[in-house]
Amino acid sequence: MKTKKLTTLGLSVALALILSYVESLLPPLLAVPGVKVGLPNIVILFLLYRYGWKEAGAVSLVRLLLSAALFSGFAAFFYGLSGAAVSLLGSALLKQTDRFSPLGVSVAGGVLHNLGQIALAALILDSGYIFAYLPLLLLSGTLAGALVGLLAGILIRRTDVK
Amino acid sequence: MRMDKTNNNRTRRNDLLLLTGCLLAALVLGGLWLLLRQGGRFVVVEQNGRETARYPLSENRTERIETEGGYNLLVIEGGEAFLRAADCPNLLCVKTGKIRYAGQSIVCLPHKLAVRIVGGASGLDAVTGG
Repeated sequence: MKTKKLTTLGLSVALALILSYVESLLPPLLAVPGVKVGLPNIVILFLLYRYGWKEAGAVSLVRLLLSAALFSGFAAFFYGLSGAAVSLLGSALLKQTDRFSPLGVSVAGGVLHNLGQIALAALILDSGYIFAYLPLLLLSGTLAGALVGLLAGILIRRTDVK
Repeated sequence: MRMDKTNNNRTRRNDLLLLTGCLLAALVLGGLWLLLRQGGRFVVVEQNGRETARYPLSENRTERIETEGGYNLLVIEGGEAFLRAADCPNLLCVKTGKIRYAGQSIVCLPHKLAVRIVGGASGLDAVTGG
């Protein structure tokens, strides 16, 4: 059982890493930092449901480290981390209430991800001006979260063998 | 299905409420910004969060900005500012396009560079040397 879990988590890291690579190949949807679908989050959301926030967080952290080292660079790691941490915290809490499906949990995660990133950007760039882009990031976070939640929801339902 | 039908309906309703709530919030905030935005007076260049240069939006000019990560070419033309070229990896700053309203910005995260428009009606902060 323990080996199986270890294997699953290892494969999850690989899958999430490949998804972030695939996403980095796609042309940016909009010329605003932070507007993207977040394909690796399909894996993270799946793990949140299958195992729990610790496993999802661990895989997310390793994925961020690896994709920063391989594709996106050091600065992107901290933006990714701030978004991922806030997003996972909110998603885990919302899932705990048992009142939302993966879709709803993911929408909250997507919105929180962008809020976390814009908060860090405002801190680093030492200005509140970036909040002019809050509406756009709120919108993109909602839509991206819905898409990720839809896909992860299918995955969670169809692999539910417990 | 594991969930009974009423539970299923409730989660679906909650999902929908959350989704529309977020979209509505984005719409309201976006609408407010469109209504309240003002044309800017100055173009402020910030590196690592510190202001390094300030140019009037009304004067045409081209400035090459050197950062720790590389360069960005700032152009001010016809009351609008944009980055014409840069050597950052994704060129998002160039693709951002032209900005003219106070609060709008062009961000180049790889270069820790922000170009933003400031100064609504008065522009007093510039006069006092802020």
